[in-house]
Amino acid sequence: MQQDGSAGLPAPDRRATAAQRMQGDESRLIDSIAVGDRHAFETLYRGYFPRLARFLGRMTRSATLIEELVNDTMLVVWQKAATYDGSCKVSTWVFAIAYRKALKGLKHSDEPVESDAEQYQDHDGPQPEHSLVRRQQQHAIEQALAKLPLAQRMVMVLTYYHDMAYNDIAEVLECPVNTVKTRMFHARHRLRDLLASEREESE
Amino acid sequence: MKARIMELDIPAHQAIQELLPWFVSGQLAPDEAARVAGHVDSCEQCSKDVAWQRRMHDQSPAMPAGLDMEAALARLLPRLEQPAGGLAQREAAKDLERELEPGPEPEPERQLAPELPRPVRLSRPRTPAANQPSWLRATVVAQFALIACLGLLLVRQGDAPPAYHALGAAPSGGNANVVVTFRPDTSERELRRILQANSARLVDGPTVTDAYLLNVAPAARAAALSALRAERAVTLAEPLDAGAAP
Repeated sequence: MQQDGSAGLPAPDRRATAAQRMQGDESRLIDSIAVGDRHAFETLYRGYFPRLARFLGRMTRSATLIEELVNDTMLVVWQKAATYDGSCKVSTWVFAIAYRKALKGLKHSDEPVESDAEQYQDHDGPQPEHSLVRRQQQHAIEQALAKLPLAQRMVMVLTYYHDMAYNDIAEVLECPVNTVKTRMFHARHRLRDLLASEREESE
Repeated sequence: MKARIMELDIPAHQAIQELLPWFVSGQLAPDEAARVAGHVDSCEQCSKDVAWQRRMHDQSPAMPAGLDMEAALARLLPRLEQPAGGLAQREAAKDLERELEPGPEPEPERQLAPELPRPVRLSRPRTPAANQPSWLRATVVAQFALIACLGLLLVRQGDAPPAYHALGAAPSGGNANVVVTFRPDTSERELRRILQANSARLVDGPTVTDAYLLNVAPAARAAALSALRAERAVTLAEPLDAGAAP
């Protein structure tokens, strides 16, 4: 077991320590990328591809477009790494680039700015505890999520699936913090209603 | 429990409600998290909400189907080299150096690198260029070098023979090739006649020994010396070679 000094901490503190470590690692990668280190770039790319794909996948159903948007985002990271000044987390910076790229890219494409629950796959494969009920619940949530307005959906996705703080989300989406809180408040109430009505329909 | 809910401060409850998603995801500051936790313990509605949101949060998001990360990366890598000319060559050189010298990257090599479309790394835009100490140092050094060059030019110019010798200018004697002395009672008219007769030009003089330095055509110097010596007014006429004292 790795002795990192955080083993004795309570869960939230351990999570914070892990997040700080990850931020430090990513900052160092960005510094290396800024001086043209392609190996560091590839490491960051592989770390961010799944995260960005999950995020962008809530905006478009096209795998090709998702890959293209991830690449456009990471190209900007490569080109602008020297301008990253550490005033926000690396993830906030990268996601903000991705969000702007997605809005711009989707505006000029025929793809609907929607997600589709049918397109998601389970990479973990069948697991004993991953029951049919659980998969059905996940599917129901994804379908309900897809019905939320884009602005609310993205706040919810960044909050629940990317563990972003509200001020980081505000930076990514370029809106005030209070707007983030309000969108999230409405999003979860709307999601609860959608899930309830879906449950009623299925019964 | 319900009685306790009624006692709650409604605006505070609403404010806590807004924070619940980030309480669940562990993304609140410690003081905020403590405030929310205290409220959730005493509020049934918020407690139920937290339980529902935990279920939402725990639903691991699935990956969109049909993605191929390695193929996407392979498509991106050539684009990293496109915009800036010479990048490919520099990268190739860098890769070669890596192969030849495995181990930590030497510092000079790191400075070689980024040759992207990206705003050049001469000065990281984290601080304005004008405030970069390295930038200022380079400027001051360049300034001193320029001043030194100009000073050198000035000194060398002072050593060179003047192209134009003003009447009031200090004598140089640089191109004199004959030295003569005249009798003390020689008139200016007589002196002028002797010079004109020998096509000689007065370069300098009288010196402290009352000698005059003349310039005559080098080819006619011997003849001029003979003619000068033949003059009654001339008491001495000698050739003056470069470096010889009068």
